[in-house]
Amino acid sequence: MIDVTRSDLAPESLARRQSWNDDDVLLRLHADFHGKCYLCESKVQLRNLQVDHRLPRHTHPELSHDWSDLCPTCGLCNQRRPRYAEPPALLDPCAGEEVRTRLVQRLCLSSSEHRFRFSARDVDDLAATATAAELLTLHSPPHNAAKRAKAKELRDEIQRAHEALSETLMSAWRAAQCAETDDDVRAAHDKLDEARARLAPDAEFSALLSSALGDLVDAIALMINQQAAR
Amino acid sequence: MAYITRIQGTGVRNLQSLDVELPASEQQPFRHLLLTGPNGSGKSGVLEFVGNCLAACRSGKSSIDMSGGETHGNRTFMSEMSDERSSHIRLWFTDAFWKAQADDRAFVMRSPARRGQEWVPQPVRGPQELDLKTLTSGQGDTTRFLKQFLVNQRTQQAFALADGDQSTAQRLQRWFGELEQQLRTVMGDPALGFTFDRKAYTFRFESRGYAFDLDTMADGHSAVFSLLGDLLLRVQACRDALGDQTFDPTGIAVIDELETHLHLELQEQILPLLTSFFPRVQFIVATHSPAVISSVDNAVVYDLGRHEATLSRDYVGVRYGALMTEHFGISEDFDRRTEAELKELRELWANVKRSSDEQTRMQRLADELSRRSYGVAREIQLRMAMGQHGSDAA
Ligand SMILES: [Zn+2]
Repeated sequence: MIDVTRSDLAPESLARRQSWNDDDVLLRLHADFHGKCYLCESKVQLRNLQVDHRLPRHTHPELSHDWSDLCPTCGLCNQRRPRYAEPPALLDPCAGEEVRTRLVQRLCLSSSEHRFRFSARDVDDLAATATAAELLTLHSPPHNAAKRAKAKELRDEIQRAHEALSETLMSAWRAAQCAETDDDVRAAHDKLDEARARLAPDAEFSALLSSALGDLVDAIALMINQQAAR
Repeated sequence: MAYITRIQGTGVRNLQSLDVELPASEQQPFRHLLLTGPNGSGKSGVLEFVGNCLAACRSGKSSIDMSGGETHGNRTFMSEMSDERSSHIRLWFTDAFWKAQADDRAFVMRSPARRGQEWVPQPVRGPQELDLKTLTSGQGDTTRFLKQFLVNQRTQQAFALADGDQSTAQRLQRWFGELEQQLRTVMGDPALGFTFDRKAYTFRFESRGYAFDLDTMADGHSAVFSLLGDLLLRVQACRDALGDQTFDPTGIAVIDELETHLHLELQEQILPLLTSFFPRVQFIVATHSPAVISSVDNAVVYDLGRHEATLSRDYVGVRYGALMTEHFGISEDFDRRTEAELKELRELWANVKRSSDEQTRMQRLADELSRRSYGVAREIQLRMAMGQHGSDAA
């Protein structure tokens, strides 16, 4: 799940309270959420974007046309969001750094079965726990074969993104190790910037990858600076 | 119009039971069926039985529930068939299919898995009447008459032109035009020429500077051609019998291993090609190919291994790799050895109290696997290089 800054003013069409997926809403969601699904962080084309009510309509009918309740999802996540009679409230992707501070999202190295780990930083944090459970469901193989294939595709893409980022980090580290001249240091910085671009808000799966590999970016940056100081 | 809406079977070959619905609707008078499943799961057996049952219906030999019945509020018609080994199959139809025995508005086509190999060059010495109704009523391969049929069509066109019968001439010209379009797709050459050699009474393909004729096609092309030809002949048989050259008959085509001899691109194209050329034909097909199951959106995909039905629409646009592992259950992500090595590496990393042997082993695995570009290996290698010791990604 990502965190973003939602634009303040609600799209105009919502005021008519007739539809929550007019073009102005879709365009704004697409822009505010960096063209990503807020749950799985896949890039979604504008025409495939679906509008999700974070707090579902059947429990919060009063929020049906409320700008703050609308979030963009990909088709698969929208289909796969579990339907509860009493849905637990999820974290709000637009409430500052709530997602980053309350939720742990990881690609684990140690577990061979489930490589994805989502958990709350604080076990008593109900919203974070519910969000983690939902994200885990969305990243796990579903029962239905066709959906399973699509969910597999999502996991494959995340895996590829992880591979590409670790590749870039590796070359940044190598460059930092043997940096002697100013040019070498600059080259190492360039590689590191490349890695940072993969963790930028508009990059696919960046929240997940940040929590998995973000520490290495900082460590390599420190290394380059020490090398430069010598 | 008669299409299959449900197939129910028990004891067909080694298959205990089968029940698959092909719901028809206002917009969609029928759905195709794509049967998947591992070898030995009974795909061919089911198709054979369905084919036999259809044939028995047409010849009036099958026991038939004339009263019809209802499923989901729609009137349906059912036919069933058993054999001496207590195999039993029931077919439900949208319409009274059995009456079609004398009905030339519909046809049944069956194609076994070996196909295209039976392409026997037939010398054609000129136009010669074909009794298509008889030729297409049996189970035998009809493709050997295809060249004769094409020659007949072409000479008809010439005669019509000579007689001043503009409408017939134009109709046949359009027909050849459409056929040429389809062949261009099959051969993957948008500039392909399909021309009649009126001295040798044969057809020639001209593609990328090469010329070849019907008898010298590659296996894949002749496999497509024999399917296309078989259907064309059956359509024509109906037209001849009705005396209406513009009539579009409905039909049911039962095809085993549709992808036989086809390279990947053709596997993607074959079903869209057949369904667009024969929009009134329902295809009942067995396949191993992810390219086939994700190529059309109007089909039910039924897996005989898992007894699970899915709409093919849900597979459109899904990558083959994901389909191979998730639908066909074949792991092609990593080979087995790599899979085991990655698992070992992850376990070594998780175990913080490693012996020095294990440490060496971990280092070697990480180096080796990251050279082959596996994200996990690369990350562990990097973390080790940064002086980290292991356990979960910290
Ligand atoms: Zn999503």
